[in-house]
Amino acid sequence: MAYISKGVWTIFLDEFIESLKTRKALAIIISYLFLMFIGIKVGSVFEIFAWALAGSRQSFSILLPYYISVGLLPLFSIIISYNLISEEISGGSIKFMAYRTDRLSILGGKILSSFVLSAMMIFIAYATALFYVHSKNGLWFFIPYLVSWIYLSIYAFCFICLTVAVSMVARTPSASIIWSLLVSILFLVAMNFNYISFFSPFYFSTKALDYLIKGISLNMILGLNVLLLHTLLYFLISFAVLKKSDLD
Amino acid sequence: MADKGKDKEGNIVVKTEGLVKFYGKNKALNGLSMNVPERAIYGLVGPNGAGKTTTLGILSTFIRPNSGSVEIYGNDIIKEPEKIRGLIGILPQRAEFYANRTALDIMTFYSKLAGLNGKEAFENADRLLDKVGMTEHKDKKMKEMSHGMFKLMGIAQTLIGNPKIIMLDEATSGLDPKVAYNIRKLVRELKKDTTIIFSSHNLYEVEDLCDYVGIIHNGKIIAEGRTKSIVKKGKSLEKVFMEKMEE
Repeated sequence: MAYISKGVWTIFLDEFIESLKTRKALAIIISYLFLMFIGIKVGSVFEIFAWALAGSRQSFSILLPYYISVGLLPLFSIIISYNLISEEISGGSIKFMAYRTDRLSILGGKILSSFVLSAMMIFIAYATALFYVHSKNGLWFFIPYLVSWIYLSIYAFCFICLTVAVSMVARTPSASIIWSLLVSILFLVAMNFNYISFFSPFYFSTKALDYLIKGISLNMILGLNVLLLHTLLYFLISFAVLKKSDLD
Repeated sequence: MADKGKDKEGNIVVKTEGLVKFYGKNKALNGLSMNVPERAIYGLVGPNGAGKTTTLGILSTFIRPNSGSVEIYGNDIIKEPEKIRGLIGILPQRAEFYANRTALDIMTFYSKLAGLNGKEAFENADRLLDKVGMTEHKDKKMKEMSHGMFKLMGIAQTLIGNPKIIMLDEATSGLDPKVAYNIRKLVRELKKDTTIIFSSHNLYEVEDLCDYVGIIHNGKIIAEGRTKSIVKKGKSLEKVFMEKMEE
């Protein structure tokens, strides 16, 4: 166990630091923060309309950033993680790690680095929003923003694991990004079908709104658990494929 | 087959029996058995597609055989892969380093993966790059390095963690004579404390460098033993090799 955790930690730290140096990660973080800031700014301007909407107890400053995140995070998660393992496999660099540590550590460390990067990005956006909204309207949305941050981080984590699972089968970075986008589109289409929609992470993307709008936490907790279940499933698929794969 | 079991060079430390590996319907290894003595340089030679890289892939835990057994220092490769990983260093034939990172940075990362802490890992990386003659190039990014430097870096990373067995897959292919000579010199130095499995197409190089040789053809070892006992009566390894191919 200690052997695995040391490997995970070493790979996580290295991958995280290296990913912060890439233009891709910087472009994603800047784009996300920019679009979120626009959402928060527009939200705080139209704050008054929210109160008129069916007695909603929450504001546009909460809903707009949330909807923006729900739309952007799957795409950003795919872009962050499509080459996480596939590039190592196609270039062969995974071999230099694979005879020094086990494959679970490689997978765990790399996925964890993307998760922390996404969670950090979402955190910065919401922390900025918290103080911005307070300075504009005098409101503190501490709990709604905390809930949004946790829920959206798990939502992004789910898509990171999904992308890695797809990339384990696709093997090359270009095939990985194409297949990950196609699978995500399939999940979007699945939303239109009653029972199949339960298998789509998108279906659970807005369950936190039940808490943010109506104050009902049961659906949100259920949604969070199902997203975690999806994440675990994709991780196990990735691990099973990587463990069985020949690194030739 | 010659020189099995105990040997003057040392105990048999790598022992494979009846290794079979399929890629789809293609049989890459067809009951391969080989025995590598301790602290010897074992040359693995064979034509393209004979199974050299697959054999080294199995010995490095990268590839799982369909059947057969492998023992490295008495450890079963399927049951105890983590023990094997602590014993080996490998330079794979087809593997790239991170193009945008420096040699020192990459070596430090691999040293950490091998269990060293930050400062130890950095010092170890620095020392090993110095050992292979890459001190001047340690701060260069991999994308700025020549093929020769890439191979030297590849050898340097095999030395992390003081492995008992080093496997070099086509370590000198495509190199200019001077760099190839330096690598052979380095391999001879490493032999003092390490067992080396050296896969190559260059039969003259293997004859000159290796104490033992295994000729692999169609996924099987068709001749194995001391280089001197295989190359006898004024024949060259090339001549023996060609005769074995025609048998």
